[in-house]
Amino acid sequence: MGILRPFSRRLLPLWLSGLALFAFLCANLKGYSTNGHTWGTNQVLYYVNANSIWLSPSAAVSAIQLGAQAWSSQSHANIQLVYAGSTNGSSLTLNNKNEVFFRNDSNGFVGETYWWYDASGRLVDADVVFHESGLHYYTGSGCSGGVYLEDVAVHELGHALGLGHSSVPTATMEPSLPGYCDLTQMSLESDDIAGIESLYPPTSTTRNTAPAINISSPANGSSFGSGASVTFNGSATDKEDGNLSSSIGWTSSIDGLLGYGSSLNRVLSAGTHTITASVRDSGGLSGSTQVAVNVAAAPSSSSVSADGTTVPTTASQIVDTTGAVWTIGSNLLVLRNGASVLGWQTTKILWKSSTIYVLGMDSNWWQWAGSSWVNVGPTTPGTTSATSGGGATSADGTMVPTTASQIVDTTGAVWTIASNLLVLRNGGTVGGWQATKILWKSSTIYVLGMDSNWWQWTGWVWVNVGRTQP
Amino acid sequence: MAIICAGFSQRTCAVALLAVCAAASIAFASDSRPVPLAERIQGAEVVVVATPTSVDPSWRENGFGDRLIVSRYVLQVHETLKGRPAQAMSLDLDGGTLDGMTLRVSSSPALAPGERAVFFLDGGNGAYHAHLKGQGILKLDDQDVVRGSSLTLGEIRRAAAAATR
Repeated sequence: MGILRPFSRRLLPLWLSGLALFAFLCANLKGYSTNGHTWGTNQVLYYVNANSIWLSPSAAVSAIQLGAQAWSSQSHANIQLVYAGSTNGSSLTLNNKNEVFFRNDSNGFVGETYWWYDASGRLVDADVVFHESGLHYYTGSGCSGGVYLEDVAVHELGHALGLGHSSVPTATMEPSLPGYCDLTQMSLESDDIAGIESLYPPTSTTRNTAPAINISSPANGSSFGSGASVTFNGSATDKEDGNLSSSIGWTSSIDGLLGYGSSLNRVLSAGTHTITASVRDSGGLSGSTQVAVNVAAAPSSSSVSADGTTVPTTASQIVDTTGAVWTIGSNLLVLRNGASVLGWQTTKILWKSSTIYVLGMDSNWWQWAGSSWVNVGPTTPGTTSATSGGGATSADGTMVPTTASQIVDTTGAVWTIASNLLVLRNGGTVGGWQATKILWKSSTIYVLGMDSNWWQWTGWVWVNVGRTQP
Repeated sequence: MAIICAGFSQRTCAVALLAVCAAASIAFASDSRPVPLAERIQGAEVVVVATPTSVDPSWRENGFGDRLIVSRYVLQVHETLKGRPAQAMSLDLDGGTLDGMTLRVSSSPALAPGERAVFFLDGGNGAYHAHLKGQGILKLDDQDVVRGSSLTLGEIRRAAAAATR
C-alpha cells in the first residue's frame, strides 16, 4: 500500500483504471491458443491427395509444401512438416496418417483441419480438407477473386501442429483471411512464432543461426591466365561466434581443397572452377558461398617460345611452359602476364632450357626460380664466356687443382683459382674469396676456404657448410 | 473493448465499433467466410440462448466416409430468439473425446457443459447442428458479451427481432 501514498484519493480510481487497462492489454499480448498438445516427433509426415478441380497436382503439392515449410523456416521451433508423398485418401479419419486433400463441396469454409490426440495429449493424426467448389484456388500468382492455396495451407497446417486460432488480427492463425488473393498469411507473425515455439521449444541447435560468409575476391566470373596466382579473400561472421574469417575453408570443384583462412594465394588448374568458401560455427551450422573462376588452359607446346628466344633481340615476348607471357615494359620492368615481377628491371630476357633469365642492371644474369630471382653470373646462360676454357659441364666430383685446372658449371661458367688463391669465376673474383680448392659436387660449387671450412656458392653468397668435404 | 471504451464518449466508441465491423465484413476466414449476423439469423432455423447441460460422444460415419467423433449436447434453452420455443433441444457437433481419443475441429469451438452461448441451429435427424459450424455458436461471458468481441446479447436480440419482423 505504501506505493499509493504519493497519490491523492481522487487519483486512485484513475490509477486503478489505468492498471486495469494495462492488465487487459498485457493479457492480449499473447494471442495464440493451444491446448499444449504436440507431436511426439520433430518430423511430422504428411501426404497429399492433389486431385483438385482448380490446380494441377504438381502445383497443388508445391503450394502445400510451401505452406508447410513456413513453420520450420520462419521459426526456431523444433518441428518440421515433411511431405511424404501422395495419397488416395479423401476422408477425415483417424488412421494415423496425416492427409491433405480437396473436396468438391462448399460448407461455408475454405479449409478445415481435423486433428486427434490421445489420452496422453500426444497428437496422433491430422487431416486437412480444402473445400473448393465455392472458391477458386490459385498458386503463385494470377489470383482473381479467389484464394492462394499456400496461404490457406500455412494456416491449416498450423492447426495440424496443434495451434488453435489467434486473437491477434494480423496473425497467420487468426480465424479470418484479410481478403481475397491474400498472401500475407505466408509470413508468420511474432504471435504465430511464439505459439509454435511454445509447443516445440527451440533446441540449442535450432536456436543457433548459421554464419554469413562473403567472398571479396576473386570476383564471380573472373578469368586468369594459366599459371597465374589467384588471390582468395573472404570474410565470415556468425551471430553467436563472431568473426570466423580465419576458419574459412576454400575448395575448388577441380582442384579440391585449396586451404583455410581469410586470404590465400593459389595457382589453379585450367578450367572453370566453382570456388566454394565455407565455414562452420560452434553450433554445427555451416555457411557457404561460391564464385566461378575461369583459368585459361596452358598453351600448347607449339606456342611455347623456342629455346634461346630473347627479348627484344629475337622476339617481343616469351611464352613459358605455363603459358605465362614475359615482356619488358617501357621502364625496363620485367613483366609477367603484364605484371611486374618483384620490381626487377632488365634489358634482356632469355628463354633457355625451359628457364627464364633476365640480364640485370648489374650486368649479371638472373634466373627466375618461381618466386625469386637467382644470380647466375655475367655469362649468358647456355654459353661459355670468352675467358673460360669452355666445354661441357665438369664431371661430378671434379676438384681444382687436384683433378682439374678448372671447373665448368651448368651455366657454362668457368671456375679457377688464381695464384694468389683468389677464386675466379670466368676470370673475375667472386666476392674476393680465397680458397685452396674448388669442388664441383652435385651441380654445386664449393671452395675450401682459408679458415679450413667448405663454402657453398649459392649464386648469390657464400655459405659455410662446415669442415667436412661435401 | 468494453474497458477501453469506458474512457471515451459513446459517439467515439460507436465510430470505432463501426470501423471494426466494417473491417470484419470484408474479411473472410481461412477456415470460413464470416457471415454477417443478420444473415446468420436469417439462415438459421432456430436461434436460442442456451447452456449445454450434458454431452454424449459417439463414433459416426458421414456421407463423405469421414469417421468422426460427434458429440451430442443437450441444450437447456433460456431464450428463443427465432423459431419455435422449446425448453431443451439436442445439438450434434463434430469433435469430442471418446475411447481415449480426442478430436478437435478447426471450424468448431470446443464446447463444454455449462458454457452459455447463442446458438444458430439448423434441423437434422433427431438433433440440431450448428448453422455454419463455428459461426453458429457465440459463447457469452458473464456480461452477456460474445467472447473475443464487443458484440452484446442485446445487439443480437435486436438483430434477431429485426430479421424476423
